[in-house]
Amino acid sequence: MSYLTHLYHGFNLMSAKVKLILLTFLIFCVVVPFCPESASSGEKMCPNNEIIVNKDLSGQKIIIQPGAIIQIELPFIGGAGYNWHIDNLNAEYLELISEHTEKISEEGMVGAPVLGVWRFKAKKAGETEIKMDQYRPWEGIKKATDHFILRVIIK
Amino acid sequence: MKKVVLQKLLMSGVAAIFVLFFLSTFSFAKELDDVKASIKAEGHKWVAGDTSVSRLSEEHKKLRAGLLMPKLTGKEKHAAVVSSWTQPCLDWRNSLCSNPDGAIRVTPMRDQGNCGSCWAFATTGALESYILRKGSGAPPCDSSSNCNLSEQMLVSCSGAGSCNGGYMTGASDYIRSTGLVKEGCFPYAATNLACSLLCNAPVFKIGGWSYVTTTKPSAQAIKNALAYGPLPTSMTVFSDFYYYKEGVYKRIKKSKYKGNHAVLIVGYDDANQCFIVKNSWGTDWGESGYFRIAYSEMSYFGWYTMLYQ
Repeated sequence: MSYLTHLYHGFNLMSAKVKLILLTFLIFCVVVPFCPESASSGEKMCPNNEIIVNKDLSGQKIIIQPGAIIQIELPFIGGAGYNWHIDNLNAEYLELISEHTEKISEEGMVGAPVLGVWRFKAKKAGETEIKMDQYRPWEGIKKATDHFILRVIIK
Repeated sequence: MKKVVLQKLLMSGVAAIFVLFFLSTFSFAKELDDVKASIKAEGHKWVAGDTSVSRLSEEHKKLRAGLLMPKLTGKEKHAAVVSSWTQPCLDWRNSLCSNPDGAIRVTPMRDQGNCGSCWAFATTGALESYILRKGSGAPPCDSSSNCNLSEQMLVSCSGAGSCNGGYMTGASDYIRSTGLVKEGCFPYAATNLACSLLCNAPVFKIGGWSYVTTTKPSAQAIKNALAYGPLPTSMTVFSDFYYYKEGVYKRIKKSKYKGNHAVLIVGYDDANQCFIVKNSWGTDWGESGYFRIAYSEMSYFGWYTMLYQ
């Protein structure tokens, strides 16, 4: 309670200009995570600089601005030899800037799925797609067990 | 107060810019080429497999996770094993060298498919070897090539796990108390089937189990216990491990975390300073499904090794 009181007093002490900046920042934080869907095309309109995409969005189309970041998060069972592989990426439009694996299972389990996280940066205006397939490296894409595709419009 | 707020906002902005700059300068190379170059540079004695498709992906990943292991209650049994096997090599496949039985005590290679059931394969493999060692196995466990027990029963009925991972402790308790039927009674489907599909058939059990190692495994403790039979254990899988083809595996330094895994140790070889291990990724991977791993790799291999008795 006292913490909230301090916050309230602190806010009152700020100048109108600072209050405006702070409120704009807060509104930005609330609005940014959402990608409203276009009523006409079903495309995801993403005015923000970063969008997180999971398996549910496979086959969909997203619209982003040049410089924006797309973060793709896909689970896989690394302990079974499987991994997601990027099998189509047009370097003219998108750049892979990082890739890592996160633990998502509870403590003590062996063989549990992990989460692969890939971050791409939109380089310039145009249309492209990110195609990924899940397979064991020694078996190859012909034995892929799952697929992911994301159409990306940069404008 | 105003100054403090402005300073904090400024610092947050600077931090965000720094993080974005760091991420954007991260560079990536092709993983297989990288693995091969690192093996050479680090003087390792294993061969990474070459597949054309593996060249399509960029494989540098950021490590964020560690080894997942069971929580110990303090009530677990620990085996203090003294080995009478003094040879510099032991192989329960009776292939690279012999073993105390002088016979094959490992069943054929399996493939878990795209299901997180390694814990079921490692423990079922240990049970199959245990039955073969006891020599009292009724068909199909009267010969190593025919002995095939049901991993699916563990996945579907034991409560120890599923295709989303599991617990070797729970699986071993289930094998001791309930036992497993032969494969034909509940064939492996690499998915979470209902336990009601299990048929009524004789079961195969162990007498009990104990830990050989927990969080600080020693190669010598595992070698001693191996004289009594193959041992289920756990390990961390790193990105370079996918490309293992043959030789004595040692993790390359910049390989990245890919998950944790359960496997079955079936022997050791002092001449090459390594353990011989049965994986469950089929015969196309590694040395016909097996791999050899150096004694030096105990920081991520050999944790929570079990002995079936």
